[in-house]
Amino acid sequence: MMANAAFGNSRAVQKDYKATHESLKSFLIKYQPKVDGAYIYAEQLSRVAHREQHSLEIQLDHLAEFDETLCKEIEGNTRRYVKLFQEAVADLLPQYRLHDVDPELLDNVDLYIENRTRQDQSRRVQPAVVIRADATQYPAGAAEDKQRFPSDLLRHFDVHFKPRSTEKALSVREVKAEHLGKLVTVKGIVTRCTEVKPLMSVATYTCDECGSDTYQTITSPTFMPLYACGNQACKVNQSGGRLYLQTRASKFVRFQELKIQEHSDSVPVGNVPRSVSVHSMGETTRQAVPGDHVSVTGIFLPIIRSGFSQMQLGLMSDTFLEAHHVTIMNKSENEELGTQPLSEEEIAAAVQEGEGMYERLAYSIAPEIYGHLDIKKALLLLLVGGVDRNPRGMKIRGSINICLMGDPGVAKSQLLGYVDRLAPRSQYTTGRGSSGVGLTASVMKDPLTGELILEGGSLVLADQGICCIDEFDKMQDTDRTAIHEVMEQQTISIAKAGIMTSLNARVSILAAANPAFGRYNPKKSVEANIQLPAALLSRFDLLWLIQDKADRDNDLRLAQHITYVHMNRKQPPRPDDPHEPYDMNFLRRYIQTAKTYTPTIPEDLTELFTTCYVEMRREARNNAKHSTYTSARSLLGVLRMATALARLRLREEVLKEDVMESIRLLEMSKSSLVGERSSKRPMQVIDQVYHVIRDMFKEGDKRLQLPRIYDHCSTRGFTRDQVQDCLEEYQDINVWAVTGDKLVLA
Amino acid sequence: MPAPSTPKWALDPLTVVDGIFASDTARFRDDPESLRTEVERFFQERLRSSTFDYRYLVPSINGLSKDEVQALSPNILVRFRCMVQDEKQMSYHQPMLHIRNEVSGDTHYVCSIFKISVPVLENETVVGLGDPSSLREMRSVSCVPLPAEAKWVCSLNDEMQQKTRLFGSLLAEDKENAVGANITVIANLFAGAGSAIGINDSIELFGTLQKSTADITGDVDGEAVPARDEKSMEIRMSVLVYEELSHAHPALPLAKADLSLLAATEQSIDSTRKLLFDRLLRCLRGDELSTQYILMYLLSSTYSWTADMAIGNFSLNVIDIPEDALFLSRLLSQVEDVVTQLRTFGLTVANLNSSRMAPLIKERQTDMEHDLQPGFLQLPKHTHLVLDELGMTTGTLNDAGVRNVMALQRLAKDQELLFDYEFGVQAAFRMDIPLLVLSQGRSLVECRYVVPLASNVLTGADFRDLDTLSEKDMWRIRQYLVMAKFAEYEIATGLRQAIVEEFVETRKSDRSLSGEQLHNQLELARYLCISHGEKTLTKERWEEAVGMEKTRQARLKDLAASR
Repeated sequence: MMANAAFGNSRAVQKDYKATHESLKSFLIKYQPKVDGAYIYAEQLSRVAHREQHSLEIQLDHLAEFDETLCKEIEGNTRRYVKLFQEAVADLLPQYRLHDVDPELLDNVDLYIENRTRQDQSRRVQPAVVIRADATQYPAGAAEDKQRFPSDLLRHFDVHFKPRSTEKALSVREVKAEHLGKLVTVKGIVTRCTEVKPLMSVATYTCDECGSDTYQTITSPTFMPLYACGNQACKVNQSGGRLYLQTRASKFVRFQELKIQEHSDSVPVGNVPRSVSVHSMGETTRQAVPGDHVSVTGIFLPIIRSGFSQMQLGLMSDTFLEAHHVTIMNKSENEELGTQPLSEEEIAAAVQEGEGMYERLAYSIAPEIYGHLDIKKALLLLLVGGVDRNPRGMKIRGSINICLMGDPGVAKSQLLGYVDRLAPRSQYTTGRGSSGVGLTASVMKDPLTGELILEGGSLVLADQGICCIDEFDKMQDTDRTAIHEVMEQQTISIAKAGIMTSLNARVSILAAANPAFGRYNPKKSVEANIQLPAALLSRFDLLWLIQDKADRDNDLRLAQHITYVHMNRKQPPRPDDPHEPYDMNFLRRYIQTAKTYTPTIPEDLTELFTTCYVEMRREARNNAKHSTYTSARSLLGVLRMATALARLRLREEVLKEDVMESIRLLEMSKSSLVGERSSKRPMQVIDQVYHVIRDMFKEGDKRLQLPRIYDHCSTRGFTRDQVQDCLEEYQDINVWAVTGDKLVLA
Repeated sequence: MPAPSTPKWALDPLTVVDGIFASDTARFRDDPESLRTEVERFFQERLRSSTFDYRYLVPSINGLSKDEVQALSPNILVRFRCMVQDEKQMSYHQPMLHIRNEVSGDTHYVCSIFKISVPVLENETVVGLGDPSSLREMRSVSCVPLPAEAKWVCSLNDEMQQKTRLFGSLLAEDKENAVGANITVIANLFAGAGSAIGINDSIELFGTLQKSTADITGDVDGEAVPARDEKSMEIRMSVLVYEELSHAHPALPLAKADLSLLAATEQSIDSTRKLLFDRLLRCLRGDELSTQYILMYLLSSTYSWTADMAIGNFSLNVIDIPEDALFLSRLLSQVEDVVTQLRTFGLTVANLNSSRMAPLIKERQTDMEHDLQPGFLQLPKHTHLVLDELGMTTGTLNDAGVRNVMALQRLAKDQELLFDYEFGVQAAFRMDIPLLVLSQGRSLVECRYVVPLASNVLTGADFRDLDTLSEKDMWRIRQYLVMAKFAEYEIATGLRQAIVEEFVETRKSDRSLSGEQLHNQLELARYLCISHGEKTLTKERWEEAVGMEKTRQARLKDLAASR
C-alpha cells in the first residue's frame, strides 16, 4: 500500500524510479567491498542465473557504503525496493547466464513455459491474458516473453535484505506504529511455528473453450479465483469459456508462519510478554523451531482485511513481519542476552580507571549485602577465572574454587545466589539437595528403550561455568569422592554398568559450608570445624570464614537501610559510596570481555613467586596449629588469581601488583580463619604494620627502601594506604623519618 | 425522589462521540489521541459529580450470562467491573476515514474510533485505507469479573444498580439464575488508551459492545449466519472510558483525596477499631495477641517493593488452632463480613496436587493467539487469602503440588507470582494479597509472622455469644478497613535515629536480633499506628510493637520447649 502510494502517477516519480533502477543495477554489477575487492553480487548473480541459488541477499552494509541515502530509503520503504531489486536482477540475469541451466534444476513451471512457448511458435494462438494484482486484465503482447508471462511466474529468486551490522534488535514491545512499512529487526523467542506449506503466488488458468492461458498474481493471503475467460477470442465469440486452475503450471512458494515472543527481561512489571507473527517465505522458511532465540529482520506490515463487502469496512488490522533475515542466537548467547562485549571506548575508560574499577566492580557484586569487600573481590576473580595452562601435556586448571564458611545467617547463601544469577552459565545446588543424578553423573536406564544412558549432574551441566554448592559439608560421600577429581582434573570419570567414560567438568566451584557444631570455633582447625578432609579443602584456592562479628558500623548501616525503606518506601540511595554499583548486565559484559584476555606471566616475576612461596611455607611451619595447608597448590592458586586479576584489569600481562593483590587476598582469607584471636589483644592496623616494619629492620641496618616495605607489607595483607598511615603516624612521634624513597630510623 | 432514568448519552454514546468529532473535525482528524481524551473527559464528567454517583445510571453486565450479554443492543453504554486477566496481541486500528464520493468527487472525514466497522455507500471509496500513518495502536485486554468479591459487596452493588431501575427497561427480568455467570470480555482500548493498565488490575470499563464480525456477514449477505467459531463468540467491548478501582468497596469514593475527606469526618476510629477488635477477640477465644495480629493482617497491603523486600507484606501464620470446625467457620465468616474480597483455600495434599496456583500461558495451535489457563492466585490487589492447613495430612506431592507450594511460599515472602510461559519463560508479577495461614504446627508456607494461639482464655459461653452488628456499625468497620489501606504514615527523623541506635545497642549483646526482625517490628508498628488512625509513629506505639514481637517470640519459645 505504501508501495502503491509511492508509485503514484506523477512524472517525477516515474523518472526517479528509472534512475533508481539504474542505480540498483550498477550497485549489483559494480559493488566490491573495500576489504577484499571481489564482485560479491556479480558472482551471486551468476549462481542465481544458473538456478544454483534461490535467494539473493543484499547486505545493507554494502548498500550504505555504496549510497547512504539509497540505503535509508530502502529501510523506510522496503517493499517497494524489493520489487525494484527484483526487476533490476531480472534485467541483469541474461548477461550472467554463461551456460544452460542444469536440467535437474528445472521445475514444472519451466517445462510448462517451455511448452507454451514452443506451442506459440508452432501455431499462432490468441495471446494470453495477464491479470495483475490490481485486477485489470490486459492482453499480453505475444512478442515479448516478459509480458507474455507475469514476472512473478518467471522469477526464480527472492531478494532479501540483511540488516546493517549496526542495527539494534528491538524487542517486540518497541515495534510501534511508526515502524509500519519499514525494515525492522526484532529479537525474541520462537513460541510457535506452523508447518511449511505451499503458498500460491501465481495462479495459472486455462480456458476450456479457446485454450488460452490466464495468469493471476496473488499478493494477499486470500484471493478470488477467476471463472470467466477474458481472452479476446472468447469475448468476441461470446463462447463463455470457463477457466480451470492448473496446479502444475501455477507457481507456489514455501510459506511458514512463526510467532516470536519478547524476552522476559524486556517486559515491564505488570505486563505480559508480547508477540508478533512472522511470515517467512521461500528461503527464510525452516530457519527456526519453537524455543529458539532468534532475531528476525523483516518488513513490519499491517494485514488489510479486504472487508466483507463494500458496505461494511473492517477497521482493525493485525500486523506481521515479512521475514528477510532470520538469525538464531545460540543458547549461551541467549542466556546472557543483550550482553555484547564492551566497546573500545568502554575498555579504554575501564583501563583508565584502573584500581578504582576493580574496587567498584567488586562493590557491585551483591550490593545489597554490606561490607565483605575482600570476599566480593575474590568472587569477582572466580567469575573471571584464571587462564588454563597445558605445560608439556600436564593440565593446570584456570578455574578458581572458593569455599565460604561461616555462622548461620551471614549471607553466604545470598552471595551464592547472586553469583548464580550473575554467571551466564551456572548451576545452583545443595550438597544434599540433588538426589538421583546427584552432583556428578549417573547411569540411568531409559524406561522406554531399556538402554543405559548417562545423565549429567550439576557439575557436568555447569561445564565451563560455575557450580554453586550450598551446604557443602552435608554432601553425600559418593559425591565427595568424585568432587576431588573435578576440582583438580576438571573431569568426571564414570565406570558404571559397563559405561566407561570421562566427562568434562571445567567448573569453578563456589561452596558454602556451615560449621559442624553450629558456630565456628576459631580455636579448632578448619577440618575439625567443618568436618571435611584436608585433601578436599586444599583444593580450594581460597577458604573464607565469614563471621557475624559485632560490627557497629555494619549494624548501623543495616538499621539505617531498613528504617529508610520503611520511611520512604524505596531503596535508599547510597550516599556513602563514591560510585553507584554497576548493574548486572554491565558486570556480565565486563566479565565476558575480561575472559577474552589470556594474560601471560613475564619472566622477571618468577623470582617474586619463588620468594612468596618460600615465605608462605615458612609461615605455615611456624603456625602449625592453624595448619592452613600451604603446598604447591597454594602457589598455583596465587598464580591463577594473578592471571584473573590481570584479566580483570583488561591486560595481556600479569603485573607485580596483581601478584601482590592475590597474595593479599590469600593472606586475608587465612587471617579470616584465624578468627577472633586478635580480639584478645586488640591491635590497631597501624600498630600491626609497625610491627611488621620493625621486624624488617632487625634483619638489616638502619635504612630500608620504601618500595620494599610496601611489597613486604602487602604480602602480609596490608594496603598501601595503611602502610602510608603507619609511616606518617610514627614519623610524627619521631620513631623514624622518611627521606626520599628511604626510611631511616631515628 | 424518582429514580433517574437512563440518560441519552448512555443510550447512544457513539452519537455523542460523532458530535464531539464534528465540533472540531479539522483538529481531530489528524489527532485521534486528542479526540479520545476529549471523549474521556466528556463521559467522566457525566459519570460522577460531587453529589451523586452516576455510574449506576449505566447498566452493568456483571452477573449476566453470555447469551444475555449478546442479546443486548450493541449501541448502548454498558459497564463492567473486572480484573484484567490477560493481554491479547496488539493490533492496529484506523480511527479516522477519509472518504471520497466517486460520483461527485467530494471528500469528507468520518470518525471511526471506537468502532470495528463503518458502513460505506456504494459509490464511495476510502482514501488511503490502511495507510500506516493513519493507523493507531489498539490494545486488547481480556477481563473477568472481579474474583473473590465478598457477598456483601455483590449485594451492595446490585442494590445500587436496582435504585436506577435500569434492568426493567433494557434487560429481561431474569436476575435470579444469572448470579455466578462468569463471562470474559475482550476490551479494546483505542488510540493509545489504557497504556497504564497492567495485568491483575481492577478496573471498571464503560463502553459499547461490539457485534462480532460473523454477525456482520450474516446481516449483509442475507444468508445464514456461518457456524460460529469460538473467536466470534467472545464478548468484545469498545472502551470509551475506564476507571481504575483503587478499592472494591462499591459505595466509597475511589480517589484518595475524597477518601481522606471521609476520614476527616470520621471521628471515632478508635471506637471502630474496638468494635472490630472485640468481635475478633471472641472468635479467637479471648487471645488478645493473636487478635492484634489478625487485625493488622486485615489492614495490611503491600505498597512498595525494594530490591530485596516487599514492604507492607504482613503474611501471618496463626498456629495451634484448635481442631474445631465451628471455630474456623466463625472466624472466616467474621473476616468475610468485613473485607471486600476474600478467598480461602484448604491446604491439603489432594487440593495442592489438583489445583493450579500460577496461571499458565499456552500457545494456541489454531491461530497466533495464546490461551491463559487461570491460576488460583491470580487475584486483584487487596484480596485477602486465607489458607486452612488443618486438613493437611502426610502424603506425596506431585509435580504440580510442589510448584503450588513454591508459588505460595513466594507469595508469602515476596508478594510475587510467577506466570508460567511455554519454553521456560516465567514472568514475575507483583501482587498485593495479604496472606493468613491457619495451622496446627508451623505451616508449610513460611510466613513473616508466626503467632501461636493461646487457648481457653474465654469460657465457652462468651465465645458463642456473637450478636449481629447493626448496619451502621458494620458500615463503619468496612469503611475503616478500606481507608486504612490509603492511610498516610511517617516516622519522625528523631524516632528513626532512636530506633537505629536501639538496634545497634541490642546487637552488641544479642546477636540473635536480625535485620529481618527489625523489619518486622517496623511493619507491625506501622499497622498499629494506622489502626489507631495515627499518622506518625510515636515512641509509645514503637514500644508497644516491640513488646508484641517479644511476647510473640517468647510464646514461640515456650511452645518449642513444651513439645
